Amino acid sequence: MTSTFDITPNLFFSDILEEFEDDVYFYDCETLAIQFANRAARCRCGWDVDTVLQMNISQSSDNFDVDAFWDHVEPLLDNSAQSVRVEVDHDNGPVGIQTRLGAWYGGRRVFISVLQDLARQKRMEAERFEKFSELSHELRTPLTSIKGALRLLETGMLGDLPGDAHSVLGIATRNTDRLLSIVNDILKFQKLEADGSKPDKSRLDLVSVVHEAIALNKGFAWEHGISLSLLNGPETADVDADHEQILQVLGNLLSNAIKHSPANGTVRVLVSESEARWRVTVSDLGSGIPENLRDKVFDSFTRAKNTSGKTTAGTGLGLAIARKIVSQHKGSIGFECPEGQGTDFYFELPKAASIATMC
Amino acid sequence: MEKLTRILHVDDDEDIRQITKLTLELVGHYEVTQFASGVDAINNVHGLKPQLFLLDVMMPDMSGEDTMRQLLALPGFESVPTVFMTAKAERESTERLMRMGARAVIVKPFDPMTLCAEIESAWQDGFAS
Repeated sequence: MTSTFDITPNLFFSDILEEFEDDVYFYDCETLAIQFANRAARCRCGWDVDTVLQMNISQSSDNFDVDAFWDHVEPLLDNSAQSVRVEVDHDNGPVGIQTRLGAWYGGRRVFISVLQDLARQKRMEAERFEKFSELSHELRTPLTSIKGALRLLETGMLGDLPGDAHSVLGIATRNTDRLLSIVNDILKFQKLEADGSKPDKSRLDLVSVVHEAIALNKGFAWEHGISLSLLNGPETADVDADHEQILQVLGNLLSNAIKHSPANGTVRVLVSESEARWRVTVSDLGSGIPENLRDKVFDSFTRAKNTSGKTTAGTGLGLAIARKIVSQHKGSIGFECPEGQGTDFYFELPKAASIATMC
Repeated sequence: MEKLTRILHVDDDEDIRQITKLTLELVGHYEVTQFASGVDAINNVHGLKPQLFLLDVMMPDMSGEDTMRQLLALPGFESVPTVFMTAKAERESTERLMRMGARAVIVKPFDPMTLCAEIESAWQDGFAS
């Protein structure tokens, strides 16, 4: 078969696609005849550059199921979706395939499929995490000396200090701790992105975890003159979740609420039922979230001002980490700014399957 | 129970060695011998009678794990407990070191005011029935 579509006038375009690490296929949306396949695609399928235009997408894998393919792309043909994605076991391992419709030369329509090697993607994520882990080590080493030296001075182990020296040491200590929090949060965030960070799920009582988080954050709340209060709710709320990660989400929401509360305020926590999910709400009485930040609240490095108009201490990664964890648990996270003042942050997790359902 | 008094500390970072020595001597009143590498420690440990090895993990010439293995292979040092100090804060890293036989893993940055208590606790774990 000779293709009616010639890509040679667009050598620049095809050259770019040719170098992609992902497989790229352009194929006729009626006959499925290949119009273009880049080097990675030809290599995966064992196709020769001279004969690739004689191939059909159905020949790209021994397991290609033509009927399943047409079912899969139906939303593209009836315009109910812009793109469709599927993960399948290809001949050389698991792959993710994203497909959409595009216009080809002469006005003909083609399917454009980009195939990502998921094993390679996981390897790259693991390598990236390893690099961040090494970077974290490099940053923590000098911080060890700085923190250690400050602490020895602060505690008087090296002798008495003049009065003003204590407040200056306090500034240095607080900022060293802040730097350390940033390093830790960046590492946590990267770890959540990398392979191997899937939640280590077990049956948990969310109410107990909330009690634990409140106990862990009482000291921090006390330092800010804030009290923490758990409102009446269900006695138990079972979920299947990673204990450490949920504790992290609660810790991030609590510390956020504490930092944004007015002095002598109270941060309220409520566990409630929301159909097939359990919801935990953490409410502060701060100045709320400014309109211009509401779309960015869960983005990395977004930080709002507190009730005193100062930008709060923190890394700006806490809510991004919380969102990532909740999404890996197939839950949801959000916030509401009630009429009066303050903010209600909440997250929901699916209720644990009952024993009867599991059987 | 034997009292812990002599600690052998290995860390390639000179500043951390100084902070650790000050801490162990001023807060814990231990006798501390320090080396900048695992190789130095192995070559010079004879004659010293350390009761506990305190080792950094990531060192350029010889890792903390290899240093521990080679120190414990020396006659007379087979049962000396090892405590690691590491800037690798991940849980997996700590679990791996514990599986290798570490008595405890202390994450850097450590607090000089609690470091000695953590080491003492690890030391006493060896005498728990």
